[in-house]
Amino acid sequence: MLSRGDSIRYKEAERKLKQKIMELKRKNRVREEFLSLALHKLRSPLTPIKEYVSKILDGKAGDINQQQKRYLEIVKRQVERLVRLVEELSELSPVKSGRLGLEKEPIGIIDIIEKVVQSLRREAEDKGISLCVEFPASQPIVRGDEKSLREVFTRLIKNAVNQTPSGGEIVFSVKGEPIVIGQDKFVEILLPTTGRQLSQGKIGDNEDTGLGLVMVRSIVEAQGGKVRFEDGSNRVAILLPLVG
Amino acid sequence: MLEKVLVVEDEPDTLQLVQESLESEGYEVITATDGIEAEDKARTENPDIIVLDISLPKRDGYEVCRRLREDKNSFGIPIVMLTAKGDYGSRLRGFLQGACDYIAKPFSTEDLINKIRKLLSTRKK
Repeated sequence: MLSRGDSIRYKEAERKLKQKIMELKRKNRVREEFLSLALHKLRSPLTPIKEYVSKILDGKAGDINQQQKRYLEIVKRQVERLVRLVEELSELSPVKSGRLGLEKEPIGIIDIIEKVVQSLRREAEDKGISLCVEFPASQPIVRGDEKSLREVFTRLIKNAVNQTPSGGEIVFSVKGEPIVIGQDKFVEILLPTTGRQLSQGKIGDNEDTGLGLVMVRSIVEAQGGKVRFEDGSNRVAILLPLVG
Repeated sequence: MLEKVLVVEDEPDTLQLVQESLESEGYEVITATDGIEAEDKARTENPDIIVLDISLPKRDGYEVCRRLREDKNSFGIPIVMLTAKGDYGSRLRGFLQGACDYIAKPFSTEDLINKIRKLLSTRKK
C-alpha cells in the first residue's frame, strides 16, 4: 500500500518521465528532418558534378592529356562513392527512424532467397561464379517484411559475389534446425563473406561506404532478428524469427 | 520538326546540364525556373514532354503537375518528375498527381534521355 507522499512522488516522477520522452522524440524528429534536408541538399549538386566530369572524360569538351584523364578518373570515382554514400544514408534513415513501414507478415524464407538468387545468378555467372543454395526439406516461415528482407539478401549475396574470384563458388545455406533463444525460435541463414572486411564494418567491395552493414543490421533487427558475424569463418549468420 | 521538351529546374547548373544534353540529342529545349513560369510555358509553348523538378520556388512540382493534369490543354503532356527526393512516398505522390515517370537525383543524363525517348515513342503509337 503506497502512502499519500509516495503516490505524489510517483506521479511526479511519471510526469517528468513523460516530459523527457516527449523531449527526446522531438529531438529525434529534428535530427531526422536535418538528415533529410542534408541529403536533399547533397543530392542536387552531385548530378552536374558527375555528369560534367563524365563528359570531359568522354572527350565531349575537347581533348585532354593522360594526366588530366587520370585526375578526372579519380574525381569520378570519388563522386560515385559519394553518390553511393548518399543513397545508403537515404535508405538507412527511414529504417533508423522506424518510418520504413515494415510489414510483419508470415513469409517463406526459401521463396525470398530463391527470388534474390534468380535475380543475381546472371551477374554471378558473367563473372564465372556459381551460386549454390542449400535448403531444408520444409520451408521455414518467418514473420517479416518481404521487400526489405530481399534487400538484405541482395546486399549480402552481391557482397559475396564481389569478393569471390572468377571460377569460384558461393554456397550459402538455410538451416532446417531452428535456433532457440529464450522463448523464441529463429531460422538461421549462413552466407559467406570475408571476415576481415566485416570486422572493419564493411560490406561490399573496397569502394563500399561501410553503411551496407549498418543497413543490413538495422533491417534485420527491426524485424526481431539478429545478425552474427563469425570471425575467422568468413560467414555471416542471419537469424530471423520463426512463426509459431 | 524537332520534339520540344520543357525543362523545369531552379538549380542553374543542373538546368544547363539537362538543356545541353537534350539539345545534343536533337531536342528543342525550353526552360522554366519556377512553378508558375512552368505552368505558363506548358500552356503557351505546347511542349511534347515536360521534365519537372519537385522542389521549385513559387509553386512546387506536385502542384504544377496536378494543375496541368486538370487543364484540358495540357492534360496529355507526359511529365517526368525530377527530384532530389528519392523515397517511395515522394515517388508515389508524383504518380498520384499524374507524373508518367520519375528520376531521382543524382541521375545520369543518359537515363533521363532514355526515359524521354520511351515516353515520346509511346505517345506517338
